[in-house]
Amino acid sequence: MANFKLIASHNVTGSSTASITFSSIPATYETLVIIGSARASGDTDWFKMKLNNTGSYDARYAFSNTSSTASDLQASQPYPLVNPLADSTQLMANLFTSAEIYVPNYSSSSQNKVMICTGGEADEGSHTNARISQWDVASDRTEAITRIDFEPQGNNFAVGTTFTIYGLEA
Amino acid sequence: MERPTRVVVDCSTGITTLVELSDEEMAQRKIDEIASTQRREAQEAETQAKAAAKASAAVAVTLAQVVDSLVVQESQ
Repeated sequence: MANFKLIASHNVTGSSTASITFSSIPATYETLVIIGSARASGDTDWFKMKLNNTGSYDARYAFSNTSSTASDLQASQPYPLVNPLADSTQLMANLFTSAEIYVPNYSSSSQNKVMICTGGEADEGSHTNARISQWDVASDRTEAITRIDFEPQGNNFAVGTTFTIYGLEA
Repeated sequence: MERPTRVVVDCSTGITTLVELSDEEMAQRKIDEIASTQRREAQEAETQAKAAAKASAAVAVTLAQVVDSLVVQESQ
């Protein structure tokens, strides 16, 4: 049976956190599993997930997204906007987005990379819809993933935002 | 104003460091902020358009029902 092993976690305590980077990710697991609870400090609806800090993944991703509005379908983004992000300007206090991301075979240097990302937030403010998102990301990039960045679009993460990264053993 | 920072968690050592954003990162952040605003405005416009279309369709159905009702009454 597969076991989850904690690799690292970060809880935002400062109000000026523009991004969170997990670097030197060990290559000893079968799959990476990332659990996030996130909120923006301002008017921002989505956060980016960057692999190996490169922007050259755009146009190589295939997206499948289920959301409450058709405009959330995106054929191309500089980086995948993997999950909705609770927005401090429009949602009630202390509402955080939930996110769950799987990256199988992340340490392989020969296999194409895939990400399965699920997220959602309730509607407790002036947003007209609650939002859910399922991103299935396929890339033709094969290099091993050793770094992952999370970054709100043009804003900071709110205090209390947490990302935890686990390794899933085969 | 305090310059935003990037939190870097080194998974091999467990050490967390804070790095101030570079000028280049600050510029990208500004671009992202504009993109986020545009995205929100597009979503809101789409939602309003859908609501207006729905309301318009409801009015059309009601009018059609009234016309049908009048036609029936007249034929009787």
